[in-house]
Parts: sequence; structure tokens; C-alpha cells
Amino acid sequence: MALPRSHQAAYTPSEIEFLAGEEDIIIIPTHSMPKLQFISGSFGPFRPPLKAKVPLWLALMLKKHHMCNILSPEWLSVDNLKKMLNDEETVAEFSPLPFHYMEISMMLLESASEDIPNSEQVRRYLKDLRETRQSKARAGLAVLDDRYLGMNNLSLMEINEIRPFFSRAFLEMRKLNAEESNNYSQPPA
Amino acid sequence: MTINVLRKEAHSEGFTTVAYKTDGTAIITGGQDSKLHVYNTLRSQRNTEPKILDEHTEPVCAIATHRANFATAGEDGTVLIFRNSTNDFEKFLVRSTTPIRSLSFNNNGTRIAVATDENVIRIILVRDISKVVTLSGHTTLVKSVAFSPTSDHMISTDIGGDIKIWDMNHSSGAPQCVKTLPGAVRKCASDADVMNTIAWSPDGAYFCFAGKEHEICVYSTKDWTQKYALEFAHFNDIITMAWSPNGSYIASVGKDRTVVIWDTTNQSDVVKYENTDAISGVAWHPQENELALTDLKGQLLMWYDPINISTMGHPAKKATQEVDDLEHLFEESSTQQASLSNNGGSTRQESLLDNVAQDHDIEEDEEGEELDDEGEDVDMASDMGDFVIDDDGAGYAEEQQQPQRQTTIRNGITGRAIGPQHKITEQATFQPGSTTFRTMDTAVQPPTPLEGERRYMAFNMFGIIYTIYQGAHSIVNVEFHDQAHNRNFHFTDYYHYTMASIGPDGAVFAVEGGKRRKKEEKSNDDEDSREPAGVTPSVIHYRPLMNWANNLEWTIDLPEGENVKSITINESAVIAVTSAGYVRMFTISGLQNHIFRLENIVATAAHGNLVLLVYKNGGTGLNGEQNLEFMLMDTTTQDIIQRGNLPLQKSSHLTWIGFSETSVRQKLKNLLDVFQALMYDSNYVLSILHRQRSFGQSYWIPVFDGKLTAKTLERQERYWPVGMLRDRLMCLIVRGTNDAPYFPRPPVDDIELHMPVINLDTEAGQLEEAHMRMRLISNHDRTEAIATNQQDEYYDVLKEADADMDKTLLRLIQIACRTDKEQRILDLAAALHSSRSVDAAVKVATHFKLSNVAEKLVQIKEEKFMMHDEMLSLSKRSMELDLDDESISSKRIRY
Repeated sequence: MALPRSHQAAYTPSEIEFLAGEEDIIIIPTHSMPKLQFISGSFGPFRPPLKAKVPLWLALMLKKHHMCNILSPEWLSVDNLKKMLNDEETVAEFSPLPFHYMEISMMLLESASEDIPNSEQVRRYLKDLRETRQSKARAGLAVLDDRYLGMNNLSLMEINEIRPFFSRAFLEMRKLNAEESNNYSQPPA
Repeated sequence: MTINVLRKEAHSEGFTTVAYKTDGTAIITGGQDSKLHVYNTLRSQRNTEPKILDEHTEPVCAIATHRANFATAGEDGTVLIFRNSTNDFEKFLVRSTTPIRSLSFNNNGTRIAVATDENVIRIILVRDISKVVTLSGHTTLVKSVAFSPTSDHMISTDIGGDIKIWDMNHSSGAPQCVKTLPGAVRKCASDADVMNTIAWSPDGAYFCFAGKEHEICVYSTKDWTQKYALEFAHFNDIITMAWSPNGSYIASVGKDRTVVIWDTTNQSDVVKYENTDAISGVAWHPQENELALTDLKGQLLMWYDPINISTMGHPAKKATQEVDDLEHLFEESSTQQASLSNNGGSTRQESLLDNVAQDHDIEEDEEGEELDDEGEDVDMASDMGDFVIDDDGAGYAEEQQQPQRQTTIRNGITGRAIGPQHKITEQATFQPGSTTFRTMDTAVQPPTPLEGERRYMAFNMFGIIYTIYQGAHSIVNVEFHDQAHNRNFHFTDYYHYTMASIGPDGAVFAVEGGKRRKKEEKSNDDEDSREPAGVTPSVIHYRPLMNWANNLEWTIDLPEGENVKSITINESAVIAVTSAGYVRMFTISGLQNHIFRLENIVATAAHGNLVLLVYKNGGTGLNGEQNLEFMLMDTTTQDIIQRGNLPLQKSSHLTWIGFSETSVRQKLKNLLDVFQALMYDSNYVLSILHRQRSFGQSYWIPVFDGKLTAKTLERQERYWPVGMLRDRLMCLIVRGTNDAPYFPRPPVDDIELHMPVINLDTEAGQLEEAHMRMRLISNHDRTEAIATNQQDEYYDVLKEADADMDKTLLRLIQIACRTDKEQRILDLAAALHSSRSVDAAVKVATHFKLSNVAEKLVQIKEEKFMMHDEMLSLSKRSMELDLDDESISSKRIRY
């Protein structure tokens, strides 16, 4: 991998995207199809207009071939994002978004934006959300110590962003503190 | 009995308000056309034209009445006082720069509270308009005000949702806010239709308002706390409400277009009426069993006898005022005395007007109270009322002709047990899967939709047809769920087709005749412009979906005077029902191949080679039966497969019919479809025609209860069916006021069917339901297999279904073992489909140490499975087992 050393500890964005592809999403097929057999499992049969639950990667593939419409997940609505953003700005905790929210929304907006109502607004809110959360995560890192760092509802992509710095810094601090505590706690024998 | 509603076009479309004069002689309405209408309420004069007062310059928003005069206010910011007796304009009370939203007289009519679009409430002395007290305290614009009918309290609401209770006679001298209920009502816009009305009970002991969740909160004035809530009847915001004059009922109206009358003694809804539009004004007649409503279309509805007084208490009379009553009797028995009594009343009222001083009024009040007491005494003593009622059987029509008698009857009756309430809605003809235009332009006759308005003409499992009205023409869009074979298309429609149906081979459109068409509307691309002079004929037009040959399209004009009433299409035929009482069948190519007579058809639906016709057998019964029958026909052989009664609960009606569709995958060939007739009624119950192939053996089985489902999901929603797959209802979920879907097209949802069995909340109940449902489906598959000679194709499906059922049965056996219900274990085991399953059951029984049961199970196994020879085919075997199965189910009912 041609990544700088410090980043090798983390996933690449495309790896994360791949992981997020396994998330389930609901589609409305527009073509009837028999059962589709894949290594990871079989899906279908599809019978429009019956909704079907498929992994995101399959949904996007079908979408590319105009064989389905993707039902936008409930959290990916302007109302919900607005609320989340509001919470994000007022509450200290991170608001509960899906673990792969960034990847899923990115992929959906990229290849199925017409299936997402008010996609432009959604995009804007997502951007705001991301920025607020990023600055929050940075602020959270400021209180880093050698024991633990608790940040609930952080998504994979966000964890990944702070991972190189965090893991290194954490290890360093532990090392320093270990010496300290060793010094203190060494029994006088 | 029928619902006795008299409609009158009163105002232009928009918010309207209504009030009765306190003596009940007239209804005053106000609306968007800035006019006030005064209707005489005498039944003999109910068709006379109203008196129109046009003193207002902007829409009228509020009307308040008191003995001598009535006050009206509107968006022009003025409050006007009129004289009750002559309806003459008397004086300006207030001129404000902002619209006025609400008005209220205090209990003796000396003061009036005014809510304008400001944060303050103004209290004005009626006699001297220079004496104004302003109450400040609200932080947002005041929406409504209401004086207590008995005490010196006043309640106001604002658009931020706060309620404030004011004591107007506070010890400190100035009016004081004694309590605030923050956020008790919904936030709304200052000009919203929702009025946030505070309604006082006539005795001043309670007040009520619309809460946040479409419920009515009733508060006590003793400690200003909530006593109870009236809920689960409105599906959308409540606009306003009113207590009946004796406080035993509350009538509320909501955006869901319904009027609900609640009984306050047992806190339940007793009468419901659904109007065509949302109602924004409601008022009870001060003495009679009568309700006045005004809707957003500007109509006044006078609802006579909303309460069935033969079974329930009268809404106005409890402590009747003897004198008023006698006056009233006199009034109604002769036609002339209206003016007389008015004169009589006005002398008294005028004296009041001249002398509005409070003390005088108090005297008047006391007088009234005395009368009240007397009235009660009389009431208690009168046994005559009961006698009369038994005598005449409480015929409503009769009562109206004999008002004297009616009033006597009412006097005698106070609270009685509540009997069944039926309202009659006659079954209308409908096209399954179609909706209506939402907004119509009523200015032209006949009403036409606004330009750009759209509606669904057909919505089924195959596709959607919707039309967009464009004035001179319409755009018809045809869309498919499955776009593998068909492309969506649209075309310009110069006929304004009113009905359509879509099937796998084509779409068919039809329009009634009789409309005069203009020459220039004819288009060039419309090839069939052979229109005779005068009226247009009724047209049926077929469009193929597959273009393997030329000229597959066809158009047929019906003979003059014959109109298409309903149309449907399946794989082999186009079926048109006409006003001549004919059912005309065409082949897909337009060949006429059958015609027969069937009158009063309500709806038709077709699928595969079947057609379901629902027709009225006689009119709507007096107690609400619809008397519908159905006929299931094979369109290729023209055989009647099934006919019988359509089970509909009283006072409900049919809203949809269609076919379920089960795709059964065959081993080698393509899909095999089986269809089963379905019905859906206004109680949101979906029923399926079981055993449709065996003549005389069919019955309707309820497989889905929409109300129950919505309740268990804790959602306020309704289901608009589209079709049914094997075990799922395909529907559109409709929320809010609408009972039909609109645009943009919502996605089709699928909901699991649940037969309305008992104990659905327990695991055993759920399993029982699942087994029952699976058995039903597989029975149907089996009969269908035999009817179509395709047992081999069904073999796999049936086997799979049997295995599924056995799984459920085994789980039930396990539950039964756990609870030591031994007989039940045997019942369940007898329904198992294979010896292997029985073996499993034996294992379960031994695990629970029920050795005697295990022994019996082995016996069952021997009886059922060992005796069969190997040569018996599996499918045949399961057939017989199914018979066993049924005998067992009858046995099980005993438990």
C-alpha cells in the first residue's frame, strides 16, 4: 500500500465503502427476476412492486441497470437530518446516526440521487453534520488520557479519521504513564 | 332511519363559522365571501332564502350570540353588533388594524372579549365601547377567547399553544391570569383553520379543547386539571367543537371531514358523520335535537336529529325551561307565530338592550334559574313521554311532522341506555383503484377540476393509470411496476376519460357520453373523430401493450343514451357495464362475444380469466345493510363460477374489490398464477373468497383487519389496497385526512396478513393464526390445482407449505406440552402432515415426560400414516389429510 506509514493502521476510504456495501437496504424492483444466487447468499425472487431487502452493493448494481428504485432509508430525510444537526449543535453527545451513515449516504447520493427526496438539501445537511461532528471529535481528542476515550455513536469513517493519531498518541501516553505508575507502585520490597 | 341533513350553499369556499341565536330561531353563518347569512330554523321555513347581511368587508371569522344581540367579527378587524330580533346592524364595537380571530360574550352579555392578531386580549363593554380593558400576558398572537357561561372566568389560547385562564373579577380589582397551561394545544398559524376553540360546558363546570394528538381534553374548573380525554375518533386535527345545550354531548369537527358526537357521561363517541369537506363551524340548537355545521366548501349543513333520542338522552333538554318550551311548541304548531314570538321576545330583549346595566341582567338570570328549577320538577313527573314513545315506535319522519308530540317525548327522556347507531351511506358505484380529483372548481356547472389536477384512474398490481386534467384535454399516464416488458407511456386524451383499467395485455379507457364537445377540441392525431352533431356517445377505447401486429387498438361508441358505468379488463376480455343494465364483453381484439343483463352493478374487477361483478340486490336497507351480491365468472367459458351474498357489516360499505395473486414457480416452465377474489370494506377489513371454485361452497374469510393492524403498530394510518400476494397485502399507506393516496405516487407497501383471531398478543395465538392462514392458502392452492388439472406443477409448493405448517404445529405442540394441555396436543398432532412430523411430536412429548400422550401420538401416527400404501401419491395423501384437518378444526372450536 502506498499510504504513509501513519495511515497504514487505518482502513482506506474505499475499504470502508466496501464494508458499508454489506448494509441492508430496501428496494422496489422494476423488473421481475428469479432468485439471484451469489457467494454471500441468495436474494429474491423479485416481484414488482413488492419491496425487497438486499445489500447495498446489489441495490446499487441493480440501480445502475435501471432495474430497481431504492427506498431512501428513514434517517436520510431532510427532517431527520435537520433534527440531528440541531441535536448535534446543542447536545454534547454525538447524535445516533447509523454506523455507516457517511458511506451509505455518499453512495446513495452518488448513484441514486433521484430516489432520495430533496437530495440537494440532504447533501447540504450531511455536509454540515459531518463538519460539526468532526470538530466535536477533535475537541474530544483534547481530553485524551492513558485510560480510555469514550465517544458514543461515532461512525466508522469518523473513527477511521482519528485512528492514526489516536492510536499513536494513546500508546505514547500509556508508555509514559506506565513508567510513572511503575515508579510509584513498585513495592518497596 | 336516515341521516337527515339539509345542505345549503351559503358561502364561497374557505373557512366558515356558524352560531345559533340564543332563542334558536335562526342560524347565523359567516364565510369567506364576507357576508353573513341568517337562516330561519323553523322546519316549515327551512327552504326559504336566508337574509344576507353584508356589513363586513373581509371574510367573517367569528360570531358570538347573546340574548339581545349578536356580534360578528372578521379579517377586516371590525366587531359589529346586530340586533337579534330584526337582524339590523346596530353599531361598531371595535375597529382593529389586525384581523379578529375570536369573540366571546360574558355570561350576562355586558362585555365582549376580542382576540385579534396581537398578543393582548381586549375586553369591551358592550354598552360603552370607550371602556376597554386589555389583558396582556400571552407571548404570541391570541387565537381564541371564551368566557365561562356561569362564572367570571375567561380562557384564552394563543398560536404558541399556551392556554391562559383569567379571573375577570379578581380580588385585586383588575382581571388576573390565574393559571397558564403551557403548550397544552397544538401550535398553529394565526390564520389556520384550526381554531383552538375552548368550549365551556353549559354549566360552567368543565371546559374542553383539542389536544395535541387529535383528542379532546376535558378539564374541570374546580382545580383546572384534566378529567378525561375523548380520543380515537379523529384522524386529524380537530378544528372546533361545541357542547350540547345540556352538556351531555360534545360535537367535534376535524380536518378529517368527520363530525363526531361524544357522550360526556360515558366518554365515548356515539355518532359519526363524514362530510365531503372539512367542517369548520359547529353549533347546537339551543332547544332542539339539531346541529348546524358549516364546511370549508362554504356549505351550511343542518343536521336534524343527530342524536337518536329513542335510545339516548336529548342533547338540549334535561332541565328544560318550561316557559320557553311552551313557547316553542306554540311556535312550531302554527306557521304564523314566528313573527309573533319574535315580537314578544324583542320587547323583553329591547328593554334589556336599553338597560344593559349589570344588575338588570342579574335579575334576568335569576328569573331564568327559577324557571329552570320548575322545569326540572315538571320533567321528573312526566311519565307521559315514555308512554307516547312506545306507542308510535319512534318513527323519525312522523316525529318531524308532529313536532308537538316530539317535544313531549323528549321531555320524558333523560339519560337512557345507548342503542346501536347506524348511519346510512348508500353503496356508491366505484372503479376499484381509482381516486377522485382533490380540488374541484365549483364555480362552473358541472364542477370541473382545476387545471393540473390529477387523479388515479386505476392502480393495481400490474400498473397505474393516472390522468392530469388540462382544461381542453387531459394527459393520461400509464406506468408499470414491472418495466421489463412494458415501457411507461402517456398520451393526450381529448375525451377526458373517466375510468380505466389495466391488465397484462392492454389498457382500456372509457368515458360517459352526453358531454357536448367543441369542434376545435378534436385533434388530428385522434383518428376516430367521427363524432355526430350534438352529444357525444359513450366511448370505450382499448390500447394494447404489445405491438406484435398493426391496428391492435380499437374504439367503440356505445349507442346513444347508453353510458359506460364501469369497465375492467383481464387477459382475455374487456368487460363493460353500461347504464342499460347490460354487461358487455369484448375480446381483447374488440370482438363482441357476450352480453347479458345484470342491474345495479357497484363494481367490477378482473384478473386472469376471471371477472368479479358486485351488484345490489335491492336497495340499502333501513338499518344500514347494503344488500350486495357478487358473481364470479370465467370470461373464456362464460360460466358462473360462484355467486352469493357479499358479507358487509351494517352501515359499512364496500371500498375495493380485486384479486389476490399467487405466483407459483413451476419446475420447468414460467410462472403460474392463481387468483382469488378479494373485498375490502369501509371498516378496513380485507376478506378473501375461499373455495371459489366449488360452487355453493364458498365463503368469505377475513384475512386482514386494518384498524387492528394500525392499532398494534400504534400508528394512525389507513391502508388503501392495491392487491394481495400469497400472504401479503399490497397497499398504499394513507395518513392524515386523506383516505386516498395522492401524488407523488407513494411506494407500494406490503403488510403481512393477520386473520383477526383472538389472543393475537400471545405466542400461541400468533402461531394458531399462522397455521390457520397457511392452511387457508394451501387449501386454495390445492383446489386451484385440481380445478386447473395442474397437480404436478403444484406438487413442490404444496409440499413446502405442508412442511411449513408442520413446523408451526410442532411449536404449538411444544407450547401445549409446556402447559399440559393434553387433548390439545392430540388435536394438533392429528393435523400434522407427515409421519416424520408426528415422530418429532412424540419426541417433544417424551421430553416433557408426557408418556401417555406420546403413546397416543404413536397411535395417531399408525392410524394416519401406516395404513396408506406407498403407491398413494403424496399430493393425494395431503388432500385427505386436509379433510381430516378440517374436521379437527371444527373440533378445536370447543376449546
